[in-house]
Amino acid sequence: MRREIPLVITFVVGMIVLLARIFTAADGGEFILAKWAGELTDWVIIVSAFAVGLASVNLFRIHGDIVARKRPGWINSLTLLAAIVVFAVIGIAARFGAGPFFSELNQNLYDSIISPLGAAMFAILAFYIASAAYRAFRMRNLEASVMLFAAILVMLGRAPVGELIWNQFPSIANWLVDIPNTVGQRAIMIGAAIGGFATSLRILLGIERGHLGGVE
Amino acid sequence: MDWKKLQNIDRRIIYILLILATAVPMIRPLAIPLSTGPSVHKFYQIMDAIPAGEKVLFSLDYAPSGAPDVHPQALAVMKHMMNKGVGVVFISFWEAGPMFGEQLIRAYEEQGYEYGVHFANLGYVPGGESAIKRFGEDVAGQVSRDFRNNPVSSLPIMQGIKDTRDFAAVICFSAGNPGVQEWVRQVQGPLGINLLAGAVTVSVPQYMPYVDAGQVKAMLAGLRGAAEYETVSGNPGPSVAKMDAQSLGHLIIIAFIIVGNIAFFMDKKKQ
Amino acid sequence: MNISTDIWTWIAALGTIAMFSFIFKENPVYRWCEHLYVGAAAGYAISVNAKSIADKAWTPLTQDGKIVLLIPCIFGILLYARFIKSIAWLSRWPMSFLVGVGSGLAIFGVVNSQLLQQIKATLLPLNSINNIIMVFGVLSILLYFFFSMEHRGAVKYGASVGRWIMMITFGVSFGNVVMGRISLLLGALERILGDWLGMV
Repeated sequence: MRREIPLVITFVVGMIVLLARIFTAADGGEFILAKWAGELTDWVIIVSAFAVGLASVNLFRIHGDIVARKRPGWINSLTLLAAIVVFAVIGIAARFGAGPFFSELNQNLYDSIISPLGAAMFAILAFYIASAAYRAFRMRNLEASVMLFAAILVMLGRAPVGELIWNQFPSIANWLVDIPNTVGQRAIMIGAAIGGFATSLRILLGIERGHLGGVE
Repeated sequence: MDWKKLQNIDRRIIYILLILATAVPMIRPLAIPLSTGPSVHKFYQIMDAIPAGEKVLFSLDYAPSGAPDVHPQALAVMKHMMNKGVGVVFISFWEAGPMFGEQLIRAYEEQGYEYGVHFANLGYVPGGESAIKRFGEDVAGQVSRDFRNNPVSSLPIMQGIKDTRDFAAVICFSAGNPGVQEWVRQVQGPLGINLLAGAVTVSVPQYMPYVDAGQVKAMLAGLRGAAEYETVSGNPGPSVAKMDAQSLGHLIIIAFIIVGNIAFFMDKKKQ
Repeated sequence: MNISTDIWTWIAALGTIAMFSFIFKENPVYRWCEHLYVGAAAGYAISVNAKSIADKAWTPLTQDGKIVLLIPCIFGILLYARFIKSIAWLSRWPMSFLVGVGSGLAIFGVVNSQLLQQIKATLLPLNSINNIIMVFGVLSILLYFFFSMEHRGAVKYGASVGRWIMMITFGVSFGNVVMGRISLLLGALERILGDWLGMV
């Protein structure tokens, strides 16, 4: 029962959503399954909203333990836990109309902590890509050279300075993006679509069960 | 010359050179002229043809990680829409999105534009692709209260909006999934909405097949797309100012590739 | 230079510098800021999702009497069963529900938008170089990924053309990755040089 019920749930809800789409599309009118499918899809929104707490519960378990045992770095863990509570409380107060003070505080905290720290964390990637360009991007063979030249042409064509060097760089870059790139991406997309279709069907039919693994 | 040593120079030298190449032109701009491409012109023409009084939807599907690349596009298009008298409604399928919506609104509220009349922030809907599908076909049914906790039915800008076909255009500012792909799959395909995209530069190659197939009518590509849009709409702003730094950033990376390869081949030859 | 006097701008700029310090060496300030970011983002996520639960489930349930919404609420709570060993298996129910709906939606969406529409857009008249590249390019890449027959003769040449086009595609992607990363760096630099130090 522990394995069968989830498989039945997956099959039934998946088929309702799929058939609703196919039959609504075919006759163009409202089909009884469409109503059910709409309701089920709405439920996904609610279940997904609940799911976000999973990460926080995990964080509390792991970092709560570090703080309780005063393990190395416990101050960092305490900061993390305090941040969860403070941002959640202020955010909830702002979301539920506790007044402009909380809305403003929430926006300021977001703009000066979450936004810059998140942006800086990803901006660091610019340094790594520069390092990788110097150390790893080698013309080891003809194929790697083609890839490298395409990259350089795009970089020159998409930066204003490229046009200053030679006014044809933007046209070349645009052509590379519009034609060979679209060809490559489209073929990959078609391949992925066939793979996605097959995987979804396997999931619905209970052949693919990876999402059920882990808990006995 | 010790080519081996040149190949393995301290990574911190590379970092400092990159910082200098990007920071110096920000402080001392070089005023390199910026040309505008056909895709941005197409995007602008579609937006410019929307009559005053109509409404457009911004789907703000990005987070701080991609914001420096995508948010300037939203700023540029928002400015154009406000100047034209077109209403803008925000929705987001990324948790961070509504905060960027508030950032977009702030400057206009200070200028006297009215929340609920000129723009509205419908907030965040969880559920990814499922949420996009449901919102696309039933806007009013999916969001009962906006991000500021006002009943959506009380907002004048939302009057007459049933599904996303009631917007003159839907622009998905996207830094990944859920984003452009899900909008195409679940809303553009079945409903045939007028979908445009503002994409993070990294995703641009991936979205090109949608543009080519006409599923996405036009696309802005990263910060450069924002800078071009600012130029085309006659409002050169912060994105245009960053283009000199972008240029030198590209040049220094190309220089790294060339020097790295020269060192590699010279070392190989020596051996 | 016109340094900002706004406390929030200072916090944002110093936080950015602290994060950047990681590129030179991992240090306690970076680690503290990293933990602060993770906690703040998780707390913020709780707040926006709490509102979604209130608007999408609680209000319709309590005010409009939509009892049926108890089902997704119970499913949502069952997700947390994974933390209690004896009933951990119950968390499979909501997972299978989410995956079932997702798969049902994906099948139609993927087949329509990513398969049929893309094939349709590829079927172009062979009256220009670009159209010829588009049609035969897509076919040759698909051929490259077709492993059900041995790559010999014409198939081998076709697949080889596909591989070359893919190299250009990957090169274009790399160029765009560089552009994107530089843009992110410029955003962070603007926060320090512009918003904070007033040098831009």
